[in-house]
Amino acid sequence: MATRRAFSEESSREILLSLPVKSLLRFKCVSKNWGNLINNPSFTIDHLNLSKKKKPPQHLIYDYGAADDAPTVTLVSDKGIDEQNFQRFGDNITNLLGSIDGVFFMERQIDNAILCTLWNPANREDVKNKLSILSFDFGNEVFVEMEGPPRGHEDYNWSAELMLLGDSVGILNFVDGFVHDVWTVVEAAGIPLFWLVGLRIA
Amino acid sequence: MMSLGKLITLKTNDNEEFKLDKTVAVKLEIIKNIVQDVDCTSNVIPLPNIDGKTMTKVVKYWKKHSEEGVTEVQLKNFDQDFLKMSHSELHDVHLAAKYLDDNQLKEVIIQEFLDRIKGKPIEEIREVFGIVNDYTPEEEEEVRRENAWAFE
Repeated sequence: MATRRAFSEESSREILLSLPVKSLLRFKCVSKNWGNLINNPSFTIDHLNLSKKKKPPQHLIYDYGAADDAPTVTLVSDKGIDEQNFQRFGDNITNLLGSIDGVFFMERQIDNAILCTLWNPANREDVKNKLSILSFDFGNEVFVEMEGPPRGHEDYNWSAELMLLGDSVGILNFVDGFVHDVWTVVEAAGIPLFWLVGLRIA
Repeated sequence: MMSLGKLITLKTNDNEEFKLDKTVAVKLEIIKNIVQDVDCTSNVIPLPNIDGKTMTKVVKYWKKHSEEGVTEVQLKNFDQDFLKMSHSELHDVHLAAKYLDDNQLKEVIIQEFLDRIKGKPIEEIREVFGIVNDYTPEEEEEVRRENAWAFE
């Protein structure tokens, strides 16, 4: 008798378009259909355009002249200045080393140790001490989480630079003297993303 | 014979008829277009995609929202009450609003769906949308793992 009619794809799509990214990633598990729908590049584009209309973009302000113990990075929405102070890195000194495609490469000083972090404001998560980032997967046009370079290589210094190599994010790290390492993300079928020193320039 | 009466009749696919004040009806783009094309001696507009049960709800919404002197608070209370229907009824009204090109009603319905699914576990989402899970447990686990941070 009252068999439930499934929702039309068009209706579902319209509703999904209004959801935040985090919910969408979760809802990929609902069914194969939804997984495909959400992974579809045209969906990503429509979703982006709609959320741009609803939520004005945020500005990231980096204060080069900030006092040593003051936070240097502030997020400000179009609506006003005290919307959201940048708190994630606490009072640690945070330096902005570079940015590419919305991913920020930051250096922090914690108890005299220097830690570098890739940070993506779209992922409002605290990246803590993990060198993990949320990155944009250019192939599938979705945000994915990936690990940063392995531990033990946190000794980047001020000359580290973030760069875009082809489709992947790379870090040019000053090692010693005139030696630079180029870290890139390697992606191979069946293997999770991993970081590799792709090149050493001596 | 353009200016026959003030009433327009909308006829659903199960032959239910709704008489609407013309000034209310022509606010809707689609009805306005049909009114211009249709044989005006009959003044009956067929709605082949909508059934009477759904149209009753839509008309109720229109009437309330075009009432004279109705306050914001009254409308808010009305909407709250109006939206108390099953998932599939809500879906039907959404489809009708789409067909009738009523953006206001469409937005109200979508917002209601968002409220119903926000933060809910996956199983409940399937229930709301009447979706059967076609992943194998392994496949679902894989997708969950790929998007693990979203589940935190």
